[in-house]
Amino acid sequence: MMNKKSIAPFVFVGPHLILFLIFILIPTLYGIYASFTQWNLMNDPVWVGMANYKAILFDESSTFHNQFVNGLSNTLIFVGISVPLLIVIPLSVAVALEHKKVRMKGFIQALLYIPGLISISAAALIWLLIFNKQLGITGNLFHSQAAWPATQPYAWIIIFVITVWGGVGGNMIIYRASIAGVSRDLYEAAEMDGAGAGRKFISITLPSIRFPLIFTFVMTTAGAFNVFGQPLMMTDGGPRQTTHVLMMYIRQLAFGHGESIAGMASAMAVLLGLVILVISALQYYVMNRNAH
Amino acid sequence: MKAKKMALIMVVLILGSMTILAGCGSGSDKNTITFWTPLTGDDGAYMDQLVKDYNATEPEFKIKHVITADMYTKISTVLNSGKGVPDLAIIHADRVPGFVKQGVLEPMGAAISGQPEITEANYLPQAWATGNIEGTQYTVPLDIHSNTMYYNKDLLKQYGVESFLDDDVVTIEEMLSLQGKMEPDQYVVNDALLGWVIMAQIQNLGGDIQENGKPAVNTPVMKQAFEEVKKIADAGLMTPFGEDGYLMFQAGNVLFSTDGTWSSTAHAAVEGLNFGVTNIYSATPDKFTNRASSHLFAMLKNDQRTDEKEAGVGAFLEFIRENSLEWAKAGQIVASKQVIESPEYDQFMQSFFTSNEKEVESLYIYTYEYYPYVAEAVDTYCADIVRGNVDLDETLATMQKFVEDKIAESSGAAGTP
Amino acid sequence: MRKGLPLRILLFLFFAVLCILILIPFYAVALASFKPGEDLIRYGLNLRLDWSVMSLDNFVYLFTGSHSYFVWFFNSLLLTVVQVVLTLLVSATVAYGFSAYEFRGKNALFVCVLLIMMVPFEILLLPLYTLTHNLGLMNSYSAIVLPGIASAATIFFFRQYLRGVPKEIIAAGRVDGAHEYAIYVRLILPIMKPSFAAMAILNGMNSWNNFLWPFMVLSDANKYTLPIGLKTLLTPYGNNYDLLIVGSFFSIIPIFLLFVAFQKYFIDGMTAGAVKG
Repeated sequence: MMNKKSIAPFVFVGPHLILFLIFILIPTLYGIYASFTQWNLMNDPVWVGMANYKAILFDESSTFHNQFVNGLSNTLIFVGISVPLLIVIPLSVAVALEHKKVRMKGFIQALLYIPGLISISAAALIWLLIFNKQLGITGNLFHSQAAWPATQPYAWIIIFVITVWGGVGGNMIIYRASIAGVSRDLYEAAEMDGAGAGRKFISITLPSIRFPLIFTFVMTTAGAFNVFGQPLMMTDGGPRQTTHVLMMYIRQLAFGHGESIAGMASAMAVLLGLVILVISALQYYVMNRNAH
Repeated sequence: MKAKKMALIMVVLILGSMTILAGCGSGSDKNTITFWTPLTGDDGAYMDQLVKDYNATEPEFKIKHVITADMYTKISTVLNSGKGVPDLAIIHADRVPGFVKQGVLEPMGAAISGQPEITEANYLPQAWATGNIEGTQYTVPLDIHSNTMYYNKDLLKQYGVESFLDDDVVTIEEMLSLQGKMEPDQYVVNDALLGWVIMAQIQNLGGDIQENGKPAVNTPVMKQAFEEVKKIADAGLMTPFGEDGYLMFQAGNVLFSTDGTWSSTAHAAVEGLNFGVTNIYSATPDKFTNRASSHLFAMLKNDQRTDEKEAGVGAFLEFIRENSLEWAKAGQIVASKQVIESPEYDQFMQSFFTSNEKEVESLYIYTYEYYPYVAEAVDTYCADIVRGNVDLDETLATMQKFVEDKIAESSGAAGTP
Repeated sequence: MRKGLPLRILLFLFFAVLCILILIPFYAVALASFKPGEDLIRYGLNLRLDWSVMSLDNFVYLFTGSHSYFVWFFNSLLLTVVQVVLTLLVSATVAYGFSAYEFRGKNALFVCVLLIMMVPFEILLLPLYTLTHNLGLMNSYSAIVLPGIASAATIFFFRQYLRGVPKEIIAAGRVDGAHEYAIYVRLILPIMKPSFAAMAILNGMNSWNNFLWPFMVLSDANKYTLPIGLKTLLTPYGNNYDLLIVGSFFSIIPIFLLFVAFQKYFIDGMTAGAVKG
């Protein structure tokens, strides 16, 4: 019986572990190795030690340094604004859906989820047309004179609009599932104690869905750091590279015109990964601490 | 026992789906030539037709046309591993110097030795020359696709400036004469492919983008090119920043559109748009240039490709040389002289560019090894420079550094032969 | 009921505004799919019901034209279903393994997996590409599905969910002499149903929209998925707006209907989880 038991866990965990090793761990290690090399994809990588990192982090005159700094700041702006929006809005909707005796719960839920299913090319096209000065609704209906993708802060605004439009559904599903799982008894007990809607939310709902909240917070943040599609399709990094996020630079270095500069791209990706790691760890730590 | 059954089912399910999923690995057929092109989009369909027509002639080696998105990345990887290298590919002109330097292109000599008609004399000169590095011919051209300027016939009439087209060159001065005369929301020219237009002006002003192999971006001639084009924007005659000038031209609000030979079919589909084609505007009245690139057939180094297959490639290329009229439907300037000199070719709008010597000469293909970096720098900053959003001198310095940094990182500096 | 009226009005307004904002682009797309592509170019996206230009032409083109829209659509569907099913099965199994057993290095392993999960995909991209090539998996759906299964986010979610399952259940099962696997299948899996629903939806969405990796791996146009296919309609050499708009619009309909139809299952599944509260 002892043998059976000690093998059992590995039977459960094993297959995935193998897949993980092959398809994720080893490529990641190779990718980290690549960041210490000069590599154009065609030939083998050439070891250059810390040269890439030095250029990115310390060489003020280097194009790559400027790209990294600009890219990272833009990415941080995106993260800082989109993540709260993508947590608060779905949460509000999920809570509201629970309370109201509305018939169309399922319908509304489905409706909010659908934008996420439209491919980014089509969605960007539609939203760009909506915001188009000549042809769009903003121009025709609201007589807005702005060329949205070409001026700040409008450029950022349209990026956030499309991001929230497409992103609300995902987190909302999770929150609704979790809130639905909270026992009614808790709420009734609280009501008998005279708690109002707000109090109930803070003291019962939030703590009960602590895990999904942490999960979505961390995943949404990591996802936001990796943002690429929206800025590319909506503003192409403009105006004047003020919405040019880090991932766009990384992709352009690796797959852009001319030879691939994969080593430098890997180095930037590794640095980005470190930033995400640190922030995720912080988030997890803070939210776990508050759980007394 | 039910659990065991479940386990079995699961295993079968997983294995089953994996076998379904396993695509057939590229089993290279001995008698098939794998042919990669980056032609996603409508022109890919025309190439498909050409391949189909060729295969219908029952050749010894049939062609398998694979339209490959992101082709250059895939080429890099197959070259690195040596496995799955295609027998034939279409590449762009600006990739040739880099590939040759890397030593990854097979000279064309052997393949076309059995095809007496595939010679320099039978193709547009610059298209042929682009594939010739230090005397060895590495490519056979398919076409030249160029920056071109379309004009709205009705608008030209309305403003009474049909005379602009008289000497086949519309100068910036002529365009500036319309300052203050345009109706609101109408413009003289758009900013489509503005980077290419700038590159063309460099040639018009007698300059270049390189000096002894080193990039020359922050130069007086580049500055002048930008300043000339900037005059148009300053006069309020260019479509506003951030707006889709291409669409505005199609909507009938812009006199001139500086896009490419390939959009003639798209423009033709717009109802009510009466348009014609001419050369890109110039800063000088006596010289005009249309910055162009080219699709070239090339063979990547591949040990598995037999001599017979190479001869098969040659046969296909000869077929293309004779029959690429089909390709003209995609709006491209076919490189084969036999096709462009045939009467059927005249029906195509792009025949304008091969109508006389001067026109052919105006199609300029940049062959500088690091052209892609220079083009990237220009494309990134040109819109802002021309609109006066940034300081010209500062930006030129930034662009120079941009190109130099990228070159330093590329294999050219890493000491590979 | 008077007492709750202000709140109800507020909620009603909230949802009304939300739905309108979500719906405007859909309405615009729906409308545009009935108009020719040029109309889009000339007059842009607008909400006018102009019967004179509206027609079913685009839809006819969609169903009868020579293009690969439905190939892309069914490829995406196939890939998504397989990916979701396999990911859920494997992830649940792993999560159970981590929560039901103690073994050496368990925590370290879990943390390791979690950390790597945070890494941007770009670090992996090129080496994974080379690896896929060397394994001979290029241009196959396995190359897309396998790395997807290896992803750890779903495991993380399931593991935490299982934390709420009392260990007594498992112990009781062992006392009954049940096979380890039987415990998993017959006792635990049913409890996990609600989390399955949530993760199915999440993974489904990711798989459906997955663009970059399939784009790099698939070279055969017949295997293209919908995001890749739709992207090829926008080329520097001319855009096929007709197909793009009607294709995007059409791709929503079946998914939407499926979702609405399965709503009951999801909601029931979700509320069933309340038992453990």
